[in-house]
Amino acid sequence: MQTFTTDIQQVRQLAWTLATASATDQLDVPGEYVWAFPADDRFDAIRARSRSIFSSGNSIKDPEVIEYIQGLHLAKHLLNPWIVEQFESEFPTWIANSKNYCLQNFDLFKYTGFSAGTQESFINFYLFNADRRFRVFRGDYWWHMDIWSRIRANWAYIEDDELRPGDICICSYPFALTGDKHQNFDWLVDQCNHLGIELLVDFIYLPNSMNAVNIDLSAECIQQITFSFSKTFPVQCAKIAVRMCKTKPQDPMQMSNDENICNRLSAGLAWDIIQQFPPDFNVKKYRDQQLYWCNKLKLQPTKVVHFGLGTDYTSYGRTDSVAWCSPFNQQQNRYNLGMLYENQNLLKNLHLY
Amino acid sequence: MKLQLAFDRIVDDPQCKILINQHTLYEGVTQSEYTFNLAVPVGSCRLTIVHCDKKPEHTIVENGIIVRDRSFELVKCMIDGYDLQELIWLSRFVADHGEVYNSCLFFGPNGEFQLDFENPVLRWILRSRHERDNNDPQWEQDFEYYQQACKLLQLTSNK
Repeated sequence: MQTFTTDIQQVRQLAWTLATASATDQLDVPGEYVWAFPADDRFDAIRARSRSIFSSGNSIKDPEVIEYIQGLHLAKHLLNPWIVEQFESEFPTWIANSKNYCLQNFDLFKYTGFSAGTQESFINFYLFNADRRFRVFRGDYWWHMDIWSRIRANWAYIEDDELRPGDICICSYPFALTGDKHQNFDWLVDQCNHLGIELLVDFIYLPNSMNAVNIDLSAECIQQITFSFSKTFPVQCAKIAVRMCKTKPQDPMQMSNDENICNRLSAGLAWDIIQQFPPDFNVKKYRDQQLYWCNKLKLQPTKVVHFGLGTDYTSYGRTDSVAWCSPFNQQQNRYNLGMLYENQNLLKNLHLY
Repeated sequence: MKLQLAFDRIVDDPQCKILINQHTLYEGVTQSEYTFNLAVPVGSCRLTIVHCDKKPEHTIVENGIIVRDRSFELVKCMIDGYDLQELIWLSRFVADHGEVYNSCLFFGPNGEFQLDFENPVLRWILRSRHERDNNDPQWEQDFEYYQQACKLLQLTSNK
């Protein structure tokens, strides 16, 4: 079995270089968030940014996709009352059109709803299950745990207590922390079926995955599934996601859909994107890059094309908390390689590629 | 090197002299702010701020209490854009009458404020903070990464 001892020196050199390039506006593709821009090019600001270079689960900021999006005329979608419905009706066929994963009995999910990011779906899930105890595996999307803690919801890691009637579960697949099927996913489905517990499956990284997902969605416990666009395409702040359900939900999000008041700009953007790019666009384009960088940095390639696994480089020499943004964000071993892919020209010029 | 100093509570036009090593940067009545740009060799440096020409009549005493005193106070020192913050307390004030006051930013008696540091200052800041707090063992490596990144990108942008 191949072992991986992360080349921390090289990782840190790249992190510092990209962080500095970010401050001096020398990246091929600039960041998409305020926090991606160091306040200045001073040591402290660059150091802080260097520690988040490989964090986040967001998409590769592919220049081809960015150029396409920038050329779109989105405002026209505001005048189209059918655009959300159009996107919702075409999304299932689009997402299913990949040989990299297998969604058995996908057609059981007859109700497709536009979601303002998966967070809207999650909030509705929390709201409609407020009397239950929420359960997740350690390492899943930190936002769940953070929000549950803030709203004082009843929750526990699955590892910390047995599943009980009255619980309700969420699990990402591929799993957020590892980019692969969670080792206890099948067990979780069996337990949930046995105990009558609902399980929301979050296909957050599905389009960017390769041979990680093979699931029979006819399982009784799986009543809703979610998909994110911002992990596949550089549309982070357009808040585009999809929720699919076996039965028609009766929650605020569905009401927005029924009322036809969903964000048409975002839905229109999503519709434009799926006309142009297949779901496996990134896998095809970046698989070689993933292998190159993982080999160079001694990372373990994951089944999600923009991730590698390795030693946490951000904890070196630090005594304070290394969790980024939230104490529940414990994903420092997962490297988002997107910045390396996007800034190929810069890195080549610097002889770091 | 870019040196920026800020003084406060300046009373009765005190005279001062500001030096880096043996090089005089300013001499005259103390102002509230200074900015100097100067070439300084790599290595040990000393910032000296001399309080001079204060005479006994510049201290007014009534009923045994000082009611007015020619003096000033250093409130900020930035070198190459880095605010020394708490490291300014690594200084000392050597009064003409022989007393030495550690960590003294108040210029009361005639004498000189001395702060020893190194150029480039960032390296000295990181090392000094770590020596004091023992919480940044990677400072030297990170400093090197930073220097290297700046150098690499500078080279690229100059192409």
